[in-house]
Formats: sequence, C-alpha cells, structure tokens
Amino acid sequence: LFVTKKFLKRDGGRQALILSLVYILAVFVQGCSGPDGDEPAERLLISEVGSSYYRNTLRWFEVYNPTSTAQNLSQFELRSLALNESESVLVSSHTFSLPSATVRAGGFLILRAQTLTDYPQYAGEDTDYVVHIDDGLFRPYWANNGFLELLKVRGGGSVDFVTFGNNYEPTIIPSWEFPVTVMPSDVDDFGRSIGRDANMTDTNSASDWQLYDWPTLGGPNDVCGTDDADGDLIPDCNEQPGTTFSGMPLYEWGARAGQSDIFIEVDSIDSTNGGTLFLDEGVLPRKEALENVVAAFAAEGFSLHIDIGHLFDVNPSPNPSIRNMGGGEVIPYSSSIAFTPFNGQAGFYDYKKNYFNYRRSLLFHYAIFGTSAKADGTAGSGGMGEVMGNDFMVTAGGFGLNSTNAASENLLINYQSSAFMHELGDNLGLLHGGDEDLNDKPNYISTMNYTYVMDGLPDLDNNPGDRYYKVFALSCETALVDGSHDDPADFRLGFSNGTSIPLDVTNLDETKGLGRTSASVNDVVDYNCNGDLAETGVDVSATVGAALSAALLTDHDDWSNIILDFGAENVFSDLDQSPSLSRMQIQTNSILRFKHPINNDRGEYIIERPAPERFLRMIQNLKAKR
Amino acid sequence: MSCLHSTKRSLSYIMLAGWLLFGTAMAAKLDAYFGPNETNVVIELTKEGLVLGQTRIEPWPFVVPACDECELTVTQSLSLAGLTRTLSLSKSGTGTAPRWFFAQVLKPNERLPTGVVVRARESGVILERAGEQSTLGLGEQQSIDNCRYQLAWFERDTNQSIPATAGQPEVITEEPSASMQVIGWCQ
Repeated sequence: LFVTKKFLKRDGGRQALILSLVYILAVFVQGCSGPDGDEPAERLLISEVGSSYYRNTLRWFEVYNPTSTAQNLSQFELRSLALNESESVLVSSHTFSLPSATVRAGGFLILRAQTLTDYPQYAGEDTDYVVHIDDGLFRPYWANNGFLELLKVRGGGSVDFVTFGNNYEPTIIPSWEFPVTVMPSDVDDFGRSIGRDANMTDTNSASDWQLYDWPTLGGPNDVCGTDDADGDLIPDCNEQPGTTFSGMPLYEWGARAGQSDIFIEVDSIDSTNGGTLFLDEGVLPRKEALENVVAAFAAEGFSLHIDIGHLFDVNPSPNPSIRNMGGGEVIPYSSSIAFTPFNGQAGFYDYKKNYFNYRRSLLFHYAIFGTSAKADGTAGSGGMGEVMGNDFMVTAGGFGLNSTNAASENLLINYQSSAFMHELGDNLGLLHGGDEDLNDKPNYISTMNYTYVMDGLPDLDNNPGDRYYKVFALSCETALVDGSHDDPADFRLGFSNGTSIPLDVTNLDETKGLGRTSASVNDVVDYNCNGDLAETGVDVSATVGAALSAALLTDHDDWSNIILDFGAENVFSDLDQSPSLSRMQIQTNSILRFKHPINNDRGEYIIERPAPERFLRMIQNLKAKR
Repeated sequence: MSCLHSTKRSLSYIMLAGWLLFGTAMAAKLDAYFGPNETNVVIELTKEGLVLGQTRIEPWPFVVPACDECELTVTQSLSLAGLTRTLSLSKSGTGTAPRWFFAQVLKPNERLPTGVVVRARESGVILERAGEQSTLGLGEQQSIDNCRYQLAWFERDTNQSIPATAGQPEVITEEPSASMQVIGWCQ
C-alpha cells in the first residue's frame, strides 16, 4: 500500500491501478495456496503403515506433516477397510473421524486403532505421539490387502492415499495405477512395515513405497538396511556416521556396528515435590553410580548408553558424553510408584506415557529412580523390573541414603549402581539365580544375587567368603573387603561368567572356595565356620541347604545369555518356554512392544486370534467400490 | 506416675495372659513406623498399638516393655528387598544390653541386639548362640540366657517373580526370600 501511494503521487493513476491489481491478485493466490505458496493449507502424508496379521491387532499407521505450519488432525478423516469385531462384519469402505491432535510442521504422529470389544477397560489414551481411532463400531483394518485414505473434512477430497495388495482407488483422481505389492502379512512378518523413502517422496504411485524390516514409529523412514550382525536390534547401517534411526543420531549417541548397544532413558522423580520437601538423595541418580554400571558392561563388551537428560549437564544442547541425549528428565513427585498402582500410587506406565518419546520404544529401556514402592510412602522394596522386558525402576525412597559423610556417600553411590544394574539385569533376562529364582547361591557371583548385590562382588583373592559369612555364618563374619561403605572405585559390580563349579552343600571342598576355576589359592571359604579352611566333605545342609531349600548350587553364565531383544518372549505359544531369538520373534515383537493400547508396551494385550477364514476370503475378494 | 506405671503393668499382665492363651492365633504382621533415636523415651500402650516416643508398632497384642529412663535405638541395614530395622530399649547409662527389642528382618538371617543370630527356615526360624541352636515357630516363645524371644511374624517367599501372563512380561519385585518380626524381652 505504501508503494501504491508512492506511485499515485509520482506516476498517476494508471500505474497505481496496475500495481493494485497485481497486489490483490498476489494476495488472492497466496490465500488459495497456503503458507508456502504452493502448499495447500490442509495437507498430511501417510508415511508408514504397519503390517498386521491377526484381526484384533491394534493396527497403526503414521502421518507426516510436510508443510511449514502445524496441522490439526481433526481437519481430516480416514477412509479404509473396517472391521466391526463384535458383529464380525468387515466392510470395504468406512470413514473415521480423527481426533484433535497437532501434527507439528515436519513432524510425525502415530494413529492406532482403538480397542473396542476385547479390552474396553484398557481404552487407549492419546498423547503427543499417538492418537487412537474409535467410532464405537468399527476399527481400521488391513492385512496384505488394504488401503488408507486421508480426506479433508472441509470440502472433502483426498489428501493422501495408499493402496496395497489389491488395487483400491482413492476418492478423487489421480488414481493409482498399481498397488504397493510389498506389504507383508504373514505371522512371521508381524512388526514390519511399508513406508515412503526418507525423503517422503510423493508421486502418488507404488514406487514411493518400500518394505521396512524395522518400523520407525513416529520418526523418519531412515532405515537403510536389513543386517544386524551384532544382534542389538539396530540395523548395522544405521550405526554408521551420518545416519539416523527414526531420526535419532544413534552413531552420535555411541552406537556402532559390531558392538552390542543398549540404550536406557532414565527419569527420576522430584523427591522435593517442587522444593516443598527435603531432598531424598536416594531418589536422585548419581553420575558415579551410572558410570560404574557403564564400566561394568563395557568390561564385557557391551556398550551401555544412558540418557539422564540435563541432570548432569547444564548446557541446553544434548551431550551424550555426559549421558545427555535430551530425553531423561526429572518427573513430578509422587510418594509411591508401582507398575500396577493401587491406593493412590503413581503408575510407572503413566509416567512412561507422558515422559518417554514413542519413537525410542523400539530401542530404549526406560528406567525411573522412584520414591517408595510401598503405597504408604514408607521405605519398601528397593526396585522391580520386567524380566526380558524394557522397564524397570529403582525405589530407594525413605532408605535414608545420603551424602553427609564419605562412608554414607559411598553407600549411596554403591547402592544406586548395584540396584540399577540388578534391575537392568532383570530386563536382560536374568533372575536372582541367573536362570532360576534360587537366590543367595555362594558360587553364583553376580550382581543378580542378593548375597552380592548390596555389598558388591567378593575379592576372590582376599577373603572371598566374607559375603557368604554375612549371609550364612554370622559368627564368622568379618569386615567386608571393598564393601558398600567403601570407595565406589573399588566396589565390584558384574554379572557372572558361569565358571564356578557346582556346590554340593552336603559335600563341600573348602579349598575350592566359591568354586571359580580360575581363582587363586586364596579362594578358600570356611563354609562350616569352624576355623579350619582346608576341610573337604563339609556338610552345610543344615544351614545353607536349609536356607535355600536346595542341595546342588549351580553357577550361570549371565554375560553369554543376556537377551538384548526385550520383546523376544514368544507370546504366540507357550509363555513358559525358554526364550530364544528367532527372526520371527525379532521381527514380530518389535511391534508387540506396542501392544498395549494405553501406549505402553506392557500389560494386557489384545489376545491374538487368527482372522476367521471367511474374513480372509472376503479380503482377498474385496475390490474398492465407490 | 506410679499409678500410670501400675496401670501399665496391669495392662501388661492382661496382655501377657492373652498372649499365653492365644499367642499362636494372634500371629499377624505388625505395622512398624520408625522414629528417631530417643532418650528417656515415653512408652505407652494405646488402642492402636505400642508407642515408643515417635515410634509406633500397630497393633500390639504382646507384653508392653517396662523400662524407665530408657534409650530407644533404631538401627537399620540395607538390602535390595528393603530395610532391616531393629528397635532396642536399653537402660540409660548401662551400656548397650537391651531390655527389650523389636527386629523387623528382611534377610535370611540377622544378628539380634542380644547377639543371638536368627535364621529363616522353611517354617519358622532358628535362634543360634555360640553354636547352640533352637527352633522358634510362629507364636512360640523361647528363652536363651536371660532373654525371652517371640516370633511375631514370619513369611517365606520362595518365588519372588510374578509369572508372565498372556503378553505380559514377568515382573520381579525385590522382595525378601524370608521376612520376620522378632520381639525380645530381657531381664
């Protein structure tokens, strides 16, 4: 307008009229095209679709906002095949309203089918990372055949479309000439996905889409290969410099091909409740404690990558070298926390839902340094963890841990490191007796063993029986070598290597000590506490045997049996069978980790039942008809 | 004060009689709320339980400790399963010999304030002193030297893991393999 006035004064009305018309036209064009000139105001891309086999799987797909402005999901509708499970009806086209949720510019959002009839008590809750589709009757459905179409609520019309298997057609041309043919839908394929390439190429054709062995929920489709030779569930090529996985710079965070990488996000409850209570130091992670755990794993060839956020780092940018990948944080106060909360306890999974980024779920364990495990907030159990899972917590609130003097500070650090490693061990598939629940076996020299968790592993060259005496022969109790009140630098953490010989509590050779075949001559233990350390045929069945209700005590090779695939449990058959990794499990359970409809990976899941034959036949025969 | 003490003693005798008659039937885990160490601790029996200054044990169906001008000492030791804690009353200025104690043990064994070691067994505990052992079942009493021991609570948990259910990982809660509450009265 200023320019127009200027022209009016200088050149008269003709030029001004022309410029005004140009200006009005420009404004009009901009108003029609959106904020970036050629972008429609309402635009989202379907970026990834998870494979599904069973009819009651909570199907998921992902949308991407390619525009420079945030989009509200409620501006769109979804059209797809749909299943009414309660009435066993499959329809060839159903339009779903979508909930209000922001998809930020350049951002992703996961959309999942809501549970309907199977587990209505576990109805999903929407978060910043995932929303649920629920119209009370139908849920989106697809298997090897299907389609997804985003429609604009205002004015109608197709925003984006993908068809796979059969050649379904979108609401408005241009139609696709060929469907995507790579959507897998065998039980062994469960957990894979199809997606656009990392550039989000969109030419409305099947060539935009490809098969991914690793889904990247809530992040870019940047998986660049299928090999995982080191078995850490990260594609080897995504552990190379300059690469990302689901947008996460894993190489910068320390991941490498050829090494076993374990990622953990650690949050901690604000025990001060915003500064209104005294700090409980047991609830605040100490850097030394976490570093000691990292070192214990590194000594055995495992790379532990802990993200505690800014707790040890005042700089705003993430810095993995000081355990800050930008994820860990201090979370709001609750006096008590539990996996299955009752009587006012905070729920672990509620914290996880709100403070753990969905895209990390495939790779990261999630840990909370919590307050008390007892509902009344008083000191309770020191922790708990899923076995062969990805969630654990350390709950040392009310234990009186503090740093008021050197010995107390040592205890604080040593306790945290031991408890953290112990609970992580549960996640990695280890029990209190290694591969069994039998606790306190003297020859099972592992942080998983209660005999050695609080006081650390014994020095096999210097009074190795000191921990044993404390547990089984108090009258022989001696000062502990490198115990929990001693310098954390000397405190020994670790899992067992399984090299101890079995101990028969009715016939012990005290000269063989704790049984480590590689131990020195100093590895002797006075099992019967009579002052003679060179006896054979010692019978401690009345003490050790009676306490453990066992006669033959065996070691376990923890390190060789660590299970990195925290979704490896075979949920399809016998839950009690020994866990074993298989391609099917690796592939399928990556998605089963998301089985819980309240956006976590634990708890009741939708019981998998094969789709009835007639449904499968219907799907095979269905053609989109408009 | 003397009237109060007399009342307390009478109440104690009644409780003792009840305990002798129904001790085994009354076995139940006591809720202990631990306060700080205290000198000249005031001992009271209320309808909720035993009050020792800022420390409370609820309920209290046992003989009330009688101890004037006594110190209450709270000790604790850590285990992953939780805190093992001991309360002991000793006469001020008479050293550490306890007149009474209450031990809440979350470990397979523990040295009690009297020096006696208590060990968990399949059903009940063993008291051990100088190589001599005696068994103590729930609700039973045992005398060693000049102290009488009572096992108020005993629980053995042989399986600490919560088994997996369909699609739900097994969860291990750090719990003691055995937990016990032992009370001792000493002359």
